[in-house]
Amino acid sequence: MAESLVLQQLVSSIGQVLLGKDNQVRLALCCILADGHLLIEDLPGMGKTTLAHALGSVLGLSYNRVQFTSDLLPADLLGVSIFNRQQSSFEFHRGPIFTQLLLADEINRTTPKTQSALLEAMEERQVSIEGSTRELPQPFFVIATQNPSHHSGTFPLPESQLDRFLMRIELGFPSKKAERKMLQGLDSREKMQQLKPLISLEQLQKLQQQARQVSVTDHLLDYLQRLIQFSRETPAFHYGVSPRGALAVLGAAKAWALLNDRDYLLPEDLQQIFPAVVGHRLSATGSNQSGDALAKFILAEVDVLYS
Amino acid sequence: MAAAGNKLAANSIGWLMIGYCAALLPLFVHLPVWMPALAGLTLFWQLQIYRNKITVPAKLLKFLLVISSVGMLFYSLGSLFSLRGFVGLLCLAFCLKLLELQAKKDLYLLVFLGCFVSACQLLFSSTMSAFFYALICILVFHGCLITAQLQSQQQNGRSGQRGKVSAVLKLRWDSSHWRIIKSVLVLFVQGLPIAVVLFLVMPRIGSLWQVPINSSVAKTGVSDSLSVGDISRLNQDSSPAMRVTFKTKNKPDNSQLYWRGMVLADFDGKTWRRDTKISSTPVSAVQRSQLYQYATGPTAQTYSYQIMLEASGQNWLYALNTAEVENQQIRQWQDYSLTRSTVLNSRFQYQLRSHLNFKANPQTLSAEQFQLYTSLPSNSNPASRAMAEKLATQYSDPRRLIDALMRMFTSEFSYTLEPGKLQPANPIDDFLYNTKRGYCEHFASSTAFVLRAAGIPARIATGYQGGQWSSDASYLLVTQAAAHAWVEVWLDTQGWVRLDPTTAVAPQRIERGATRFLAQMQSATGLNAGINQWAFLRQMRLRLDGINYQWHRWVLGYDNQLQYNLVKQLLGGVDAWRIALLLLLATVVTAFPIAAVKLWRSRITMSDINLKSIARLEKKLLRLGLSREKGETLACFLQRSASHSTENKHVLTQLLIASNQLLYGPQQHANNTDRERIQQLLKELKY
Amino acid sequence: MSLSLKKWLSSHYQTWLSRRLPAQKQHRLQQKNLFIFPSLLGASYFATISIFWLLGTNYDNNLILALCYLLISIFFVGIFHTYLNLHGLALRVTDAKPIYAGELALIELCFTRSGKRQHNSISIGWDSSHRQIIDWQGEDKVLIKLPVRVLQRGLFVPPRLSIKSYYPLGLLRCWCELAMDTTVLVYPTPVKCDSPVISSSASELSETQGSSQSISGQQQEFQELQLHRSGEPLTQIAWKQYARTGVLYKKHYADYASDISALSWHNYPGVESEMRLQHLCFEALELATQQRPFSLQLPGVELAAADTKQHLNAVLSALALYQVNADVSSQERV
Repeated sequence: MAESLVLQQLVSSIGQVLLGKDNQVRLALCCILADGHLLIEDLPGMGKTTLAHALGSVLGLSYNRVQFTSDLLPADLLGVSIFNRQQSSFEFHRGPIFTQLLLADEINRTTPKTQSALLEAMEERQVSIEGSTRELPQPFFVIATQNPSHHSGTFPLPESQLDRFLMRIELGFPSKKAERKMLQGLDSREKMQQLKPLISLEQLQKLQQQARQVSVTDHLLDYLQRLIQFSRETPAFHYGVSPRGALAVLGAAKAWALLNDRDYLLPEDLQQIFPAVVGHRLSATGSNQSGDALAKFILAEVDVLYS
Repeated sequence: MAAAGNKLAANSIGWLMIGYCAALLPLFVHLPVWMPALAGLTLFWQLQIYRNKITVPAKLLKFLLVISSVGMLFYSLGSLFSLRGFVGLLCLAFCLKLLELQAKKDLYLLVFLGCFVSACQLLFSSTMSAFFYALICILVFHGCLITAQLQSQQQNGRSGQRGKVSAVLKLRWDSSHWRIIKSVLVLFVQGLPIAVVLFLVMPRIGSLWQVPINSSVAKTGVSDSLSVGDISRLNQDSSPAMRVTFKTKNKPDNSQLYWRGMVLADFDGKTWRRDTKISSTPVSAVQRSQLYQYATGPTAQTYSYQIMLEASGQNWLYALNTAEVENQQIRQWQDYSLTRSTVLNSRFQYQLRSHLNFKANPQTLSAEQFQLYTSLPSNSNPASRAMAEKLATQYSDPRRLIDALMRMFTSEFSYTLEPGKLQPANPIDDFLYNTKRGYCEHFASSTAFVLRAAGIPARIATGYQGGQWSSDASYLLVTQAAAHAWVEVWLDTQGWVRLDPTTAVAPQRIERGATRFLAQMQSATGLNAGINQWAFLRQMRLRLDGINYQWHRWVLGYDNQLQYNLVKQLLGGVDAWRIALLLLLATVVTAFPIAAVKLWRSRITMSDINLKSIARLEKKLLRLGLSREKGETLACFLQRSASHSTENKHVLTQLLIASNQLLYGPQQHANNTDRERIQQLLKELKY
Repeated sequence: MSLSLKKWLSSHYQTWLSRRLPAQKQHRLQQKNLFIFPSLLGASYFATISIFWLLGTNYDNNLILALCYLLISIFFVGIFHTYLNLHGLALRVTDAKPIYAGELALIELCFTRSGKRQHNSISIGWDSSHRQIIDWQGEDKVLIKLPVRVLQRGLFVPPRLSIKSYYPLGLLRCWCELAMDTTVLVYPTPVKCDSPVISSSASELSETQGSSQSISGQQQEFQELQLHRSGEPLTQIAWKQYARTGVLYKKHYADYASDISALSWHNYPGVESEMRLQHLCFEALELATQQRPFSLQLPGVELAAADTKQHLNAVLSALALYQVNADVSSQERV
């Protein structure tokens, strides 16, 4: 199967740049295949940018990076019309959002106004500026990063906005071995330049199409519904996973199955992506548990086979 | 017994104390009055010890306590080798052992003692309620055993703490009590079928040795003598005297129900007594053959019935006259009265056939007997004697004389339960000329006196009259209130004839039966209206008595004979193998619901056929000791299983593939082949 | 005499047990491995029953006899209850963390049950001194950490796990003795060496600990610039960069100090070999808490220097398993 080979190549070539983060790379790729946006939550210097950049490179996507600051305005992101004296007309200057892959760095440092402008664009895949609606390029992915929200001077994303991200992942520190390798190896900037697009846009769209076609049996849908239901019924959670969340889990799981070179879904796929997809959509009543732990709690408590 | 020596938990103490009070309570009636005080003292003492308010009593003190209480028991009862002595000692041991309650082994000993004490109340009372009370006591003690098992984990929890934890005895009601009650009831209910079968089929071998028996049985309403005017007021006692079941369909009228007990022929001017000679002469062969002849004759009015007589403490028995007996234990005397060889200390059941119309052959009374039945003390009751002589001259025919006497009673005398005392020197004179108020004893006694004085042989018969039919009319209940006395008079042509002077005064007494009549009397005379007045309550009482009667008949009266019959009837024969089969059946009856519930719980309830086969797979693996975690996928589980059970590694790997295909494979896949494959693979598993 | 007989009996019992119930990773309590017998209390219960029977028979009292039969049947039903209290439990070892000799080894067991039966008052323990009781009502599984005292370093094989229960009435004892197929790695007890340590090769071995700490401060090297966060020392701020960019950066230094300690068997001449291992263990732990790299050298074993957690574990296991032959551990199973 040619696609599987391609996918393996994608994973391994990104892995060359971002050492020892195989699982996160796969999750990110899975997110792209499921046509969703990615939120990376981690401290600075963990390789967030590297991941986003590498993804853009190997997928052959145009790539822009925006550093979100507290004074960033929606117009700075979306673009403005500027009067052109020569043609004596307003000319629209596209903002950095008009790209196929946007890295929105430290998204929680900007004001809610700018955040919602971005999030709206993410959902609609188009922007309305000064009365006219402008399509965003196809495909359009946002990889947003945010610092853990307890840092001062941040505007944490509200839960409803978080819902728009398909996944949230954490990169975490590399293992000693990987770090040593990184330290010994080439400068990552150099390596980044060596990355070449491995697939064309058509191929990517074909892969996305294939991911959607992964077959799902009723048993799995039952399982998924049980998971979702559990999150809604258990009093430990503020609110359960939304229908959009349920769709996101299914889409991501299918993409994961494709990444694993399968055309049918297994409960393992679901379990693998579940914390990443659901973690940021859950919050616990009372306790301060991380979404990841909550998602793992759901997985442990819900029977895979029987209701 | 592993945890013996642990300090006891409040739970155990609580249950034990409840059992302690419950078991001792009914026995206090039969024990010396200081016993409850001692029991209360030890209970209080133990509670204080448990609360660490008082220390454990010293050895010497305990020794003194034992010696003094045994001495007091001996002093109170006179002897320790009686039933009460035995029970008293047991209760003493129970009370005093409570003081020593410290470790588990003391608790166990107390529990066993408590079971005995609970059972001992059945030696004094064998009513149904007593039995269930004892049963509950025993179940409480079993609950105490369970608490001892459950508490060990609490012990364990604080085993780290050394030294005496100041224990606070809080008898709070919490869910653990429910749990204990539930466990006890489950044990009881499951054990019940086996117990019933054991009760029905285990052979009864009778007493192994002579045991002291209960000597303080209830007094009967009928005593062995009759004195006029001793008692100013007749107490109404509605406790049962006997119960009668008629074998025949037709039953005699109320007016025929004279349950004849003793015949009193000796009169000393005040008291009627049994004649020692007559009542020690067995019924003659002539009499027997007469009765037999009558019984086979066409006019015979014969009833066959069974009497269950309450313990009376005396040895005579009651029957409708004239009774025919075929029981080795029962002897019949010349006056057709019946006795048993031993005193009735417990209920006694016997069969009789009675011929109501039978008249003893009017053979002439022997001179000796005539002398006996007409003898009177020469100087007593002169006025009555004079009246008798006057009557005798007036009426030569005894029958007319009797009629005249009865007329006199009807017109001038009245029936009352409170006649007041009579003048002790000449009571009959006093009654006939002054008070003119009385009950059956007065009338019977004076009638017999007058008849004797007039030269007509007469005697007094005592017993019961009437009875109440049970609600379903299956048996007749005769209460102590129905105690009665009447006269038997010798007429030349008819022999001994029953004459009841009370009918002349208060005919309703006989027609309606004593209970209702007396109830009416009481309410009319303004006495406290007893429960008898209330029809509803009376019905209730009768119904209750009905249950009680069946209880006595089938549970208490269940003896070897009944057992033999029942087993024979049930099993068609009495062989060891049949009984073994029955026991087995009872075990099955017990085990079946348990097994059924277990199976029902573990059954596969999947509606989905695929999941069903997976559930079967999991069940098979459970036999290997492998179980899936909730959040574990089947594949993970099978992989884990394969790493555990190396001999099945291959099969399990195959199963993994097949089951994943079945549950999650592409839709177009044929599911039934996967299921078959799983079935096949499951058979290859090695255990 | 009786003691030797007891020994003989128990050894035969053990061999019989080990043949009948060999060690397994997982066990399931069932007919094969459960034994049931009346307890001492059960015997006294029978005595009570017989007295009831005598009382009932002698007084010809059907009610007391009925109670007597009821007690018999309760005993009979109790057999099932006691048996079912243990039947159907499955257990496996989930965790057995390494320990130091002389400590209590906490072996974690996971109990699962088939069905929803309650299991009450089950006493579990590796030996009689550290027993725990589980009273199992609602949960699906029970995790329990069972301690057992271990005195010798090496691979500890726990004795047979005894599980017993007297529930409900205490009249019967149902028990089983299971050999769990698990081992606990037992490190030597860390003991500080009082006599001065002789260094095998002075050049490699670090000096005393005090001097090495003073070095560590100087040997830090500049690694990267990081964003300055409020509260961090001003001395670390990279003022040059601030002047250029207006952003406060701080200089981040990393410790590249390299004083590698060598732990060696030969450092303790004249010390008994077990004692040497204990000293080495103590030293290794000391160094690990200071996060200093060290190497280990034992006859036949050599581990290169490192300061990671894995390295420490490797060193400790090497110490634990030094010259431990497999038969010793298997003999320990009693």
